[in-house]
Amino acid sequence: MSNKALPMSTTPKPAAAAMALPRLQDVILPLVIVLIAIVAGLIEPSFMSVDNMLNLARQLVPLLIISIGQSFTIMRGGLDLSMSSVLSLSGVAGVLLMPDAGIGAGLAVMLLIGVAAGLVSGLVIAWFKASPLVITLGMLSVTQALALILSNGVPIYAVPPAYVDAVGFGNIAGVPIMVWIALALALLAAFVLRHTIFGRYIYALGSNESAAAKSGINVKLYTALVYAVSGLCAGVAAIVLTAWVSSAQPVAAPSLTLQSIAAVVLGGVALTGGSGTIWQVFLGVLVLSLLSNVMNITGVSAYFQTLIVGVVIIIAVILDRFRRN
Amino acid sequence: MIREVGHQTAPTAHAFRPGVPAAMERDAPLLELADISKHFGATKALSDVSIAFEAGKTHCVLGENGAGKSTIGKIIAGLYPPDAGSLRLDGRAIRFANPRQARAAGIAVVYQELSLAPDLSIRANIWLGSETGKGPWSSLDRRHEMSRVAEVMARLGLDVDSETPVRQLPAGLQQLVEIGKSLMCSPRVIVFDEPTAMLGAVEKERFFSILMTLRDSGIATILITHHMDDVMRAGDRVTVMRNGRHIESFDLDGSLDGDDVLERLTGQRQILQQRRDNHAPWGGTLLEIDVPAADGRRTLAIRKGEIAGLYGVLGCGAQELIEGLVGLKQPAHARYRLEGKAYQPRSPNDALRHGVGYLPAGRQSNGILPQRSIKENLMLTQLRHISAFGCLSRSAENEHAAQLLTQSTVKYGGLADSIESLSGGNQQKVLLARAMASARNFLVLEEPTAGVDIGAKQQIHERVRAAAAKGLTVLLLSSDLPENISLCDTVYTLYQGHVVNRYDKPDESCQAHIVGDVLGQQEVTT
Repeated sequence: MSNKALPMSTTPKPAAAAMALPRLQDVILPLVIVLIAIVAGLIEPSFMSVDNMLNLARQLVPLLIISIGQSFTIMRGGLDLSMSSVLSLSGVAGVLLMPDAGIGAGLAVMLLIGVAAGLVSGLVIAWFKASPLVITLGMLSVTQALALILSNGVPIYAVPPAYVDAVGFGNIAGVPIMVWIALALALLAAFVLRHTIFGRYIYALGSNESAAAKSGINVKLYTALVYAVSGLCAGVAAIVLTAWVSSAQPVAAPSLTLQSIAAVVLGGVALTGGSGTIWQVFLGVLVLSLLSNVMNITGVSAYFQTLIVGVVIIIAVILDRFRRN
Repeated sequence: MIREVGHQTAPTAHAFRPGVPAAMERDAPLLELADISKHFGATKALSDVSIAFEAGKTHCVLGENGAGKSTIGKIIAGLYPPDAGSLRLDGRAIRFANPRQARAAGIAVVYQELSLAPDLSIRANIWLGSETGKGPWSSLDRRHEMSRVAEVMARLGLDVDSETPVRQLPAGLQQLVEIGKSLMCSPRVIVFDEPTAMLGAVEKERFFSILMTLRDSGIATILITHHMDDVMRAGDRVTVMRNGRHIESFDLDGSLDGDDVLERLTGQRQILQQRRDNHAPWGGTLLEIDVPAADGRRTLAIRKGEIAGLYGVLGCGAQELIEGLVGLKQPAHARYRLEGKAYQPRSPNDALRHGVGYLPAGRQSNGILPQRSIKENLMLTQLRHISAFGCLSRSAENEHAAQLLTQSTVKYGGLADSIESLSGGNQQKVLLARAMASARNFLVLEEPTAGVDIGAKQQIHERVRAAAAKGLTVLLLSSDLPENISLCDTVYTLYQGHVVNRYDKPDESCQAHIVGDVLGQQEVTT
């Protein structure tokens, strides 16, 4: 700071100085979350109750799982618009199988269908260098149609009670099992991104695909794998959601895909790819879920909720532009 | 449009006559920079720079990367305002708020990164930004546009249908379109920012002749460059920049040669042609490339520890040979043999598995991962060696990375710093290290020193020579002929898909011969 300082002390590395203090952009979202929580607690004291906290945790599970899958495609520099309908197809097919083939087979089918749908999208995107936007939009239509055909367009309520009780309403150490599932998935995803070759290549491909390809990365393989992961997440979300609502809906949660993109962006992951962490994704999901929870318990109408969430997303993107400049 | 300002910004009031002996007669300068300073954050990009540019002269601004020469161009262009100091055009102080105002005042800039819309026609591109209409819905008069474009194209000797989409033109012609675009504002000053960076030998010649035509028509042409060759070929006067300072300006009147100018540039006499001569004895043939020659076919046998250059103009076929070697394309006419066995990689991934290191041209577009750290950029090709079951070992990675960076003499803060915190030369050293680390069999270098300063260029050359001395085979594709001559043990010349000649241990005396080969002027004796 002072120009009279000794030469030795005038050369601290800028990076080291920046690391000592957390950057504003890293603390702004946690601060917003605390602020929303305090305001909500003041307006409606029941917000702070253990019951509501557990409820909030349950509510954010499907969005968190989908957002984790979505963030892989976005960090790769792509997008998966088919996640909600892959979820629907997985749920319908798995639940249809459960009465005859057993719960285990049903769960396996949900995961397999998710991976298969993602893999098909990924292979087409990788081999034909096609736009992820268009291909996953096509996959959305295909899987949605298959879900409707399989279920004849009506919800399937024949869900084994043991499965519903365990996954939908069971607890371990006082915390719902579905929350444990989401937590485990988040930790696994964070590990993959930080500590594996796959994770490193996802960032490399998202950052500069041409450079990655010319460095000898197998672009097709890793692109296909990324979409297999987003499909797998849709399958996991199908397991959680069918158990929670005790039914398989042919159109299960259509707004989840767009919400997941919103959560990823809100968390500060660049839509252009090449950067971002699961922690950021979690924060984005938390803000959206918190807003929705607060508006529910304070009795804001559903129409206004949609409006407010939309405005929050647009503001988040504008703030993101400022942050990057 | 142009805000007149007084002289209050100039800290000193002395008459401005940069580096000119009083006895010499000199015309009043068209454009003057007086005591210009510019900061970016804590970095001082320019300090008290004063230069005078005259009409009808080509004035080269020469300096290494980071010398501040591009900043000068951008201040003249109205892209940045100077922090201190003033600009004068025809003796009147000027200050531009944006490039549009500079254009209106008759100052045009041709940037290195062309600003063309690739799908629009030549006509539309030349008119872009000069459309005569007032609002967004005014119609365009096609006939008027065509005649004006024909004029501009004639002035540039550009003989192509003006309705051709720019995408279909080779890089050299695209640059002419860019120049044509700049002529639309009837400029009195044109700034060329590194104009020869992407041009082959023939295109360079054409560019220089156009530059001379423009100069002779009374335009002050300013050439911002770090290529000594450009200066010696085209400059009437040169200004040398170093570390954001104006070192000196002098006329080029034939009494100075390249080494003299280089000495003034770097502050020391450089030995340009630093050949390696103490390499280990070569081993047997490693790579054979079977290619068409004028008289049938020919096999290029490249030995272990050899540095071989493929040299020719754009479209000579050297690019295809290289792309085939690294698995980007299947070459139509070439066959490769690696250690006697047929070799044809299907992808760069396949080539990597064969132990081929590849440094592609284009640091920004094909090299760095811009958002990622130095370490991640460096280790991209090495991850298999520092991992078990797909999981990376952080300690092994850090150790390996630090070692590679030290070997490559990269100046860096921390492994986790962004790659973009490094200078261009250091970024290039990181990319070279990345390519070399995966080169078990041979290393392919494309334009390895494009856009880096002389110091980094020498370090990169030394690094490549040292690796070759230890037995690494290197293939070089570079449009920089002196680089081919100083770095390579063997240079092959190519012309229209054929190999023309082979030069062992080339030196400067081969230069004319090589240029003759690649321009197709050489009679090939069978």
